[in-house]
Amino acid sequence: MNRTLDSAPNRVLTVLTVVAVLMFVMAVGMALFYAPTDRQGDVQRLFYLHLGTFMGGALAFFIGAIASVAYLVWRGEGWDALALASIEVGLVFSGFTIVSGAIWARPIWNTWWTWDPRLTSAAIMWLAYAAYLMLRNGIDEPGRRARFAAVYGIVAFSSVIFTTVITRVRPDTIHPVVVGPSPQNAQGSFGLESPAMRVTLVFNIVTFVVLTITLIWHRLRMESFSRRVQALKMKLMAR
Amino acid sequence: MLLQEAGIPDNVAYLVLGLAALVVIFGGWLVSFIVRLRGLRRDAALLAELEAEDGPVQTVVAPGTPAQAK
Repeated sequence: MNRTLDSAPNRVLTVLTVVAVLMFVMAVGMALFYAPTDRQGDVQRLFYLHLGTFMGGALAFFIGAIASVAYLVWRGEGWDALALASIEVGLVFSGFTIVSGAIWARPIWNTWWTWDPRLTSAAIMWLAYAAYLMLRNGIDEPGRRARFAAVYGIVAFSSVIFTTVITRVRPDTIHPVVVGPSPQNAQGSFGLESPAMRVTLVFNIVTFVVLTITLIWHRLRMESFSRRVQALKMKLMAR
Repeated sequence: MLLQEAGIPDNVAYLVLGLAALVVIFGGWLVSFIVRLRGLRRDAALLAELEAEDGPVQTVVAPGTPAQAK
């Protein structure tokens, strides 16, 4: 693990970072200037970033769950570092998903927040992963911390699955669905009639996936560096 | 004005608020990342000084530090 991602040449990560930043600028530009204005007004443009960051966050949490399983199987410290890096990045992405959804909801639903099943499950998901970081901070012994965090990381992923499928299984949600049929009570639904809207959406999703991978990689390198510094500190203190 | 004539509500202020949230959330994480990395680099430099005083220990190279010629 440490010898693959973390030790890969800096050049690959540098190129990926430049590509991710350029794609991010383009994605925001397409959402603002390329996609046509919907009947809902300009606030609908937030949707491209909203769904893109949701996909990025879900991917990060998925990587976190896989890394947690891998840690429990192989006990490599790198897997624990990857789980932590992924979940921290996932929290940033899903945090924006929730905030952008609230901002869209204000003019469309006439409220910043409602305890709708989808919104509630998204909030629970975010809090569950915030608790993951608290759990890690609460355990001093590294091996025990990694084991507990791995088990928690796997369990917490159920909240991502739940949040993703809830609009398909709960007819009382008012959260609209863009791909496939919307729930019967959905409010503020809109279609992606124009090809420019669909292109913008796909580009935003791809961009946020690339951005997720790039940020996880950076965070993983920092985590590995942090652990090496910590190990050296301990070594020097033991002298 | 033109948007309202076409029956499209003018809610561009919420779009601006959303973009501001994007900058604050991602920018905030980026600043936190840079601060943490700087702190680690400072620690690594301090360890290198201690190493010089106390004798050889394994050197820690920060991510992004260019390789030095031997």
